[in-house]
Amino acid sequence: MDPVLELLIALESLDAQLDDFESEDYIKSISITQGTDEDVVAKQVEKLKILREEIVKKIPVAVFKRYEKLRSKYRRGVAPVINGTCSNCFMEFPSALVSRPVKNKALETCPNCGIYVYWTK
Amino acid sequence: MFAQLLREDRVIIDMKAKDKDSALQELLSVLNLKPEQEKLVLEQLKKREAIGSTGVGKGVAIPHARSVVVDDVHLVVGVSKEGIDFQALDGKPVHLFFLLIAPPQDLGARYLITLGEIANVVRKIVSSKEYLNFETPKELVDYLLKIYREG
Repeated sequence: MDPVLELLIALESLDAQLDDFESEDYIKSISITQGTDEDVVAKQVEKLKILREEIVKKIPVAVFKRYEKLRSKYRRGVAPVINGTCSNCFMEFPSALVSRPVKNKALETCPNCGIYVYWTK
Repeated sequence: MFAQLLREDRVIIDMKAKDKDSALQELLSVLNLKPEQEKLVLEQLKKREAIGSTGVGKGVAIPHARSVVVDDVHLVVGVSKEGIDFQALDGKPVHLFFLLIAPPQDLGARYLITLGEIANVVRKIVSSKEYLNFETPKELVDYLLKIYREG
């Protein structure tokens, strides 16, 4: 897999995790036996942000800027291609691209919405 | 949601893992992901554990993560009769695992809803440890569904 794509996938997952921490339901679920301790939650969020920064440092600046722009527009910067369809804009990719035996070896974007794509198959 | 995701073929009734990393690996192996996908999901699970253990105490852990490489919400339940050191919040070994993974965006917020439902089930079963007595995945699934449906 393209190393930058791998970093973007990790970044997308961490950003989704950060979004979860803003949900009261999530906080309740992870605090079932201990009660909600705001300090503990705040520390976990801080650690998550540090992990995020470590990943961001490894991503080329132009790619990261584009990722951030995509995320502010679509709430995500990477989307899987499922059965040849971009799961962000639902455009079908040309069959020549879908039938390639090797995928995810280079950083690719959806020709329609521009999102970074991960091929599931 | 919990009832829809809970399947006998997603249950490990006697986990072999002895430590945190191998427990995550063993639970994840049930999903039969491609090696590349499994590696990426495992990394996310480890990152989640790195910021604070999902071993919520009283013998239960709810490891969870989101990843672009999975196309749906998946639940795996595992039981370790011996218990596994999962660096749980109370320092006690973990016997019951609920592994939950989902894509970053899932329709209907199924991931968060399921996490809440797991939390409700856990609240009801932690004191009895009855879940350690089952010999087959079906028995454990039936038991968890019964608890879940009791509301």
